[in-house]
Amino acid sequence: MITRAAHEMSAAMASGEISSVELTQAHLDRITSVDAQVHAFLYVDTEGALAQAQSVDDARARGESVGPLAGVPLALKDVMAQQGIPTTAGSKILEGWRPPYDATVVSKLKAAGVVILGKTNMDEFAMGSSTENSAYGPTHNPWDLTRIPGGSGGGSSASLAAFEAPLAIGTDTGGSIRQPAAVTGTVGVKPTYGGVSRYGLIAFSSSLDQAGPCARTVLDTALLHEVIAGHDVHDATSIDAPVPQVVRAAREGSVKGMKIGVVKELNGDGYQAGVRSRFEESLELLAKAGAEIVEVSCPNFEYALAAYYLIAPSECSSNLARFDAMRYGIRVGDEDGASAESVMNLTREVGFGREVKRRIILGTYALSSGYFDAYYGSAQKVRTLIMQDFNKAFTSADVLVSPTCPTTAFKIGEKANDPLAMYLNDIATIPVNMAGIGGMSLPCGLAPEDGLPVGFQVMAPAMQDQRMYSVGAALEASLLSQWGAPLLSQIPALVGAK
Amino acid sequence: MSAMSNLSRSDVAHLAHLARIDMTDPELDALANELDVILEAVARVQEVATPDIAPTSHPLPLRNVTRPDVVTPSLTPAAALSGAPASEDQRFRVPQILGEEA
Repeated sequence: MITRAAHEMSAAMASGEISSVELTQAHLDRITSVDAQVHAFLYVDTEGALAQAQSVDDARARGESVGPLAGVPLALKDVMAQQGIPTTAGSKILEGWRPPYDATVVSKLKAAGVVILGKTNMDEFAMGSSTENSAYGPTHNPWDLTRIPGGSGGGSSASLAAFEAPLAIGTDTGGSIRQPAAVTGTVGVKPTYGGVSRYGLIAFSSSLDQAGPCARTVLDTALLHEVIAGHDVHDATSIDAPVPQVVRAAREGSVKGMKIGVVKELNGDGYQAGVRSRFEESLELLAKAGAEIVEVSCPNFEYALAAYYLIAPSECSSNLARFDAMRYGIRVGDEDGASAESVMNLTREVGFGREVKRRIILGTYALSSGYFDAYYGSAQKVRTLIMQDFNKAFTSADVLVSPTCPTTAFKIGEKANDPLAMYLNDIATIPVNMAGIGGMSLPCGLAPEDGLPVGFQVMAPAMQDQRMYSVGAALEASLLSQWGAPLLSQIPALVGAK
Repeated sequence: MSAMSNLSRSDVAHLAHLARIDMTDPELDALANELDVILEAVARVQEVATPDIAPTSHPLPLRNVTRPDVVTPSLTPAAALSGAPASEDQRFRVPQILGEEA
């Protein structure tokens, strides 16, 4: 049962084949059995999960109509505030903090009857591409435990691949949903900026951050998307418009007559051979399914990475000023006569990890008087150019596609001491965040040279998220008929797992 | 500090002070080297950022959002203080803030 898709689990509960309590317990048992190896979870809320499952079972027994994901377990990225549940964002500075409120995404999940199993590991404050920057140790990729599961949402993606949960929530500032999805053979969607509320999402870079759904199938991702999306008065950047019809698009899965633009600049040199070959094969499948494949050029994308590593650190240096040891989180050095400033300085020194400090200092530099125009100001102009590139490309294509990442999962430790090499992982995912549009990654096979999953990225104009699901579902169906079984059926069994 | 890299330990120490992080000397030295490399890479934005291009701060047009000025449920004092490192009399207790050096 735990290897099934979320919508199949839901059907099994509706038919009485299994209860939500049984389903939840099966996932909790799986976590107990494998998570010592995977380390996807920072906290497991056994009691809360079983209580929510029981209440869904009770509602069903009373004959009440429940939502399509009611009773289905989910793994929540630890960057989302959940009332009374430890929430750390992967940082030491928030160790022991239990939020007094729920993020809007969490409220919506609870209202939909989704069972939250626990909080998943992540790079500290979502800064990273490997989950190695977590203050609580790395997460391991279930395809190969010596490799990274992507980041920052490596815990969420690994939990899906390890069958610890069929659904997960991620957040994506520069690729933190899509890159982990790509390297674990799972599906992840960064919705249009403003499509899902950021209220209760611990902020990293506010103009780029976006929460989104993760799952093992395109349809499951769409079902979760509809649960968490929608306007929220608690988020001033939330879009007050109807949620795109992503479930319908995922069910139909049609690309007939669609124009699919291959971004010339997000392919070629620097992309692993097996990534390129799987990507090309997927294009052929989409053409066979009735899409027209065209090539588009986005010449300014080559500056996106540089602009991102100015804008995101600048915003983070400001956002993370809130961790001042005064209202929540740890406090260090509060001894007789110590000043507030010295306590703040000591707490931030002890509480923040290396990458977070690096980005705060970089952002502080980029925003300094005298350097502002040369760095932050120039990066904002590049942002304009990237949006113009997208606008132009979308005049000749309905969606744009590329490999999600230049390579498959690398080894834990391989890039830990080379920030620039690490940043290059996000080269194909960052443009989407800069423009605030939607992006999806879905698995398109294993690279022949290393047997590891490859991600296929679909990008759609703002508030046209349903187009990603049309393409994703069509490609998924074509691949499935070729493979005969989902890609994850090829994942090696975790040694020691029951 | 120069605009194009070669940050010294004292340059980084100044930034660390602005960011209120009490870094050790080895950390400052390591960061000075790393920032040089990163700044050189990100400075590429200047190649295309010509004066005629308008900057974009945000993907959406932002406007102020208000709501009717009525009382709505909010956190209780106990809940608001529940994560505080120290509290007293329904308030956050903080270290000395007056009389410190600027």
